[in-house]
Amino acid sequence: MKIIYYPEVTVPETCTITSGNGVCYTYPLENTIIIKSNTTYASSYSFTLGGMTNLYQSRTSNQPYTEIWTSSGTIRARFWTSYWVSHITTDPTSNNALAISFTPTLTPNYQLKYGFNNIARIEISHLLQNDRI
Amino acid sequence: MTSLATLPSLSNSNYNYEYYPNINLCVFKKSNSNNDKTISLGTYPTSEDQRSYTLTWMYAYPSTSTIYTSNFNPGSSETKTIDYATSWSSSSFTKVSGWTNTYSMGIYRLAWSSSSLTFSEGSYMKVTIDSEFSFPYEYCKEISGFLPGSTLDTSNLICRQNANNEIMIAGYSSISAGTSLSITMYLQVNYGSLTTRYPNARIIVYSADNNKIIDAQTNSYTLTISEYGSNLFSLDDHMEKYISKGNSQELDIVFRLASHTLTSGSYIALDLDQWTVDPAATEGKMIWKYQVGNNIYWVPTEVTNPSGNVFHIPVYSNYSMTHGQDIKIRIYHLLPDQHDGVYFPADQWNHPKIYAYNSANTILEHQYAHVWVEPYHHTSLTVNPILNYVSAVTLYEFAFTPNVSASAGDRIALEFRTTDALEDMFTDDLGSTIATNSSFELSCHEIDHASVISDSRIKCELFAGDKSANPPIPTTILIPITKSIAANTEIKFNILNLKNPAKASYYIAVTAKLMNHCVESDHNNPCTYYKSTKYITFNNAPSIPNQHTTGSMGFNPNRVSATNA
Repeated sequence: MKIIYYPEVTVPETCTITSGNGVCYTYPLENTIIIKSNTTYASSYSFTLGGMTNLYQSRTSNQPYTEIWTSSGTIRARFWTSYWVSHITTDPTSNNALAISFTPTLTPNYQLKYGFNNIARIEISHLLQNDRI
Repeated sequence: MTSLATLPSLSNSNYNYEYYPNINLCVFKKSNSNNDKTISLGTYPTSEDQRSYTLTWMYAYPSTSTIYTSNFNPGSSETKTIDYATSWSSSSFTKVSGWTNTYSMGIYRLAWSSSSLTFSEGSYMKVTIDSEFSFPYEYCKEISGFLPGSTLDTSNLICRQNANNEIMIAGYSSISAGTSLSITMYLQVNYGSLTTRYPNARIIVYSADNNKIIDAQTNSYTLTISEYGSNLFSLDDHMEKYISKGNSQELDIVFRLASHTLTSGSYIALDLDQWTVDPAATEGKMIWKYQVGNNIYWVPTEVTNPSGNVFHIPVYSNYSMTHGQDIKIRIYHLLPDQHDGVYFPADQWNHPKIYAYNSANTILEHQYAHVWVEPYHHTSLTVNPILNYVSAVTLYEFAFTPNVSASAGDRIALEFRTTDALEDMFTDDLGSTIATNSSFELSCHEIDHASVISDSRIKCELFAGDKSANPPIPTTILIPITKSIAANTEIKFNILNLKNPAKASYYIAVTAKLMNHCVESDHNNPCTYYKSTKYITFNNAPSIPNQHTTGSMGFNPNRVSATNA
């Protein structure tokens, strides 16, 4: 079984199967997981991987896919499977609402001057964006 | 130009300065009213490789926003280039051993050094030997001054033929200035006339960014060719089985006379070096046979054995050996006492020699060959492309169980044949886009995470083949061995995203080798101490598989940026 993961998120260096009978290999350069089954399955089956990192935003495009390779050397099928992760609205560690605070400090050479109409303009955008998105 | 952290060397009492290293900006302020407009930044190291850089100037008086023109055009930039070096501090090109007649093979050593240049890990070297020589063996025999790189994942020390007359050295750790570097290699004289030539080598060092650091010739070698040798002296390609240690078999030796035709009374002397022939055949005489050119008949010839493993093959009237034609000598026995044909006592280089004598016992031509006797014809290698149809990009599984031990620092080499002169086989790049340095990092694992090759994740580096080279260069994957491996231990690993050949139902060879870097004084070791070849075929491509949107995938926890338990 070959899993091509989301291009934005790198698969871990070590692959861990937390349930399922197989051997797992990760290939971070290709963002690929290979699972070699140790048994023959005639009906539905599942594998659970540990240590995988979720997306950095909710999205539905560029879905990962899974290929099932047979022991006879062909691709049995390719699965484009929809799934979803939720965006966060609270700090996951405390469940407190997300917030941003600004605290003025006195920076040498750049402190505001008394007696003048100082204006500080702060623009904030793309709050969810980081270098992986 | 190097991004400067500070300007410690600036010394000019007429100017004060401020330096902003993150943006490489210098601001100079005149500290007096004299007319000195000269600013010297001082002396700093330049970049390691060839780079272009720009200088942009602004000129203004204080307390005004007006920019004045001056000797510099304000706001314009000037592009300069740090050029690569063009000479080595020292270099030499010498012969270690071997003959230097026409088309002879020998061991040669190339040494060079730069007193000022540093070659960082990730840089690589390309060595082009002049056309007076060609490479009979694709790997260097010995390298000196190069240590395996350990910082980069792509570091995999290699010294290997990269194209016709070109060797690539890569995967070494940083080399400091003044280090003596050398490679020893097998070279064959690629010249057919008696003359003196002065071949040299051109060595280019590229940075990891593929910019030149140095491009310079070495000193030349004085190649004096004073005797003729055959441009063909080899074993017939179509033998029944591999030459292997402890075996014997009938042997066909093929050669070509460079400029002399042997007539009645002349003879060929064949020195088989360490190989032996059963001398006491029951019939009392050693009868071999030879075939000239396209003649359909063979000429029986009564062979004598004047000494050791030297045999004389007489040429008979009306059955001359004509120069320029392929001549085949078959060594065999009608009724052998001990063994038929030639016996191969050991796994080693053997150097059979051939001499052409006239009837006055004068040597007209002579030549010798390098033949590597395999330790055995080993069949342990298995190669399993998970998708086994043509042109598929798939996971490959490899396994073999050598009966020799391996040491830390040795390497596994997988060689994929690119052509057999009839059909194209594996592509030169195995489907990867190989960068300028001709290598590509592949993803691989030991199967079942066995930790036989290494206690950490193994590294696999792909080096391009060249099917247009003569002879063709196989595409090669190198895997460093970082721990000792006992004999008879199974070595098994997989490599992702190798592309199958486009030819179906055609046997194509994959070879696994165990290699080390041997010393140049060891003339019996070609640095490959184990080899096993597997021939595999591929099926025609099946129909496009079904596409589904069924099944399910879930995250736990089900939110962004989480790491699943």
